[in-house]
Amino acid sequence: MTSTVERMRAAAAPAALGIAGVALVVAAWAALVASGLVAERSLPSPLAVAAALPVVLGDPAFLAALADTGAAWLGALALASSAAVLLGLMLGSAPWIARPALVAVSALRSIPSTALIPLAILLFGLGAAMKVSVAVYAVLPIVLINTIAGIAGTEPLRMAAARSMRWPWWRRWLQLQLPSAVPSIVTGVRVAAGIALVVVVSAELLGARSGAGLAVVQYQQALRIDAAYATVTVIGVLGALLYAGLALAERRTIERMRIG
Amino acid sequence: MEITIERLAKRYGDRPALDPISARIGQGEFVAVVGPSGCGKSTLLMLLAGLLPAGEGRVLLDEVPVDGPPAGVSVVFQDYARSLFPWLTVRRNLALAAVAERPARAELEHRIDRALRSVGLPDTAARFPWQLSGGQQQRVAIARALVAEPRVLLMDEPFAAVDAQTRADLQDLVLRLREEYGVTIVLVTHDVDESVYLADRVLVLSPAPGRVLRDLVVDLPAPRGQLVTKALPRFAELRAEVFRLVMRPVDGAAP
Repeated sequence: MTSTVERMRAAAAPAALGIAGVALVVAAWAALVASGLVAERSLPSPLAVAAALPVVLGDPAFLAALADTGAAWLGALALASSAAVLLGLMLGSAPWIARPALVAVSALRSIPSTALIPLAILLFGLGAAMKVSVAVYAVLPIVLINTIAGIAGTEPLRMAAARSMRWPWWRRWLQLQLPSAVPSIVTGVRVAAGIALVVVVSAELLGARSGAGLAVVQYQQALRIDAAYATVTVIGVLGALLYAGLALAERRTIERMRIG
Repeated sequence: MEITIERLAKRYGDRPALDPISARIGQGEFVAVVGPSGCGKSTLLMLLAGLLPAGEGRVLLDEVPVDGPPAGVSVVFQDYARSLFPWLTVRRNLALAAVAERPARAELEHRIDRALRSVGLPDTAARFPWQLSGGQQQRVAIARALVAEPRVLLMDEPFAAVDAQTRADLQDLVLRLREEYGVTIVLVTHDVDESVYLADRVLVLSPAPGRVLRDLVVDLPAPRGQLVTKALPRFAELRAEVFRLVMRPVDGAAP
């Protein structure tokens, strides 16, 4: 067992690198603006954007829009993940259907999800259903493929043990194959979470009645470029925090399951 | 439970794994199956466990043909780490071995506690398998096999993955459990000493495809003990005989 101190030391190095990386980007951004190569109209300085942050975060309309984006993101992720796990469990225990199904899924995935946004607008209008449907389309295959791979990776000896203990198929499903697939499923959900956020915000940029993506467009149209960038910054920071949280949850789960 | 093996054979694709084998294992008997690696001894055990479909012939348990994993038969696999469920506590691992019989809650708890006491691990119920040593994990795997209260215990090289000291402990544990539970035991091993030390009878298989070279009665007195039994001249004779059969060059084994 590694001590807490060792663990913190191990985590500190990448964290320091991350902060250095962000600082470098901000410095380059400031230098670019100061050099006059880019008009302040299209790219305000980091300081101007930072100054706009309180304005944006104090705007109840923006906070409502952010909550909207969050709800669509979470809804899409939950819907896609639960459907994918259920589908993956069924396909995973029937390999002869899984193979052709995976070919079909791969073929569908070659259509970029954002290209389907206009179609989704036609089908679902500009409400939450549109954002959620596109995001579900984008991330369901990721969780599905990870679920099937996880189930296929179930230890054969454990399957033999379960069969010799005369477990019925549903118990093998729920108490062996599903737990065996959990680490792989969690990895899939972590990757899917990032993509779902990108797709939801993209859908909002292209046309939605509400959401953080729409807020960016509205600030831009109101010529509050600094606020538009501040909005993007808020979405970026929230996305990074979400990702870090999910990566931690993933590590914890894999540690807890001890499959190896 | 009596096991009758009738002209049982198995091939994997074109490759014959087991030539027709016939044998009878009586109620309460302890039979060891030895043979060179790849001779099909594990295949034989999986056929007895109903985990593999037979190619030809059949297995009868008390006159009932085996068609899938039968009730009253428990299997202990060689690799405890890959056969236990690491995400469940020892208690949950054991409880899940009895789900086919659906014993009442109190009865199940009683069986779990008894099995853990029998294997000498009474205080490990709340722990996870990976928190235990290799030898302890194999004890848990044996306890799991006992929870179903089997009448036949099939063991596939159960002591191959542990050190010599632990192996001797586990061997004596199995001898005790045989007395305590009165089960019929079939043990597959590549360890000649182990087969002679533990079993009432040793079935020596030929190199692949396996067939029975010799069905040897081990006429050593009970109770057996690591020091006493292994010091007997008869032990040395039997050991040498099994060893010669196992080590026989392939051309010498041809009919």
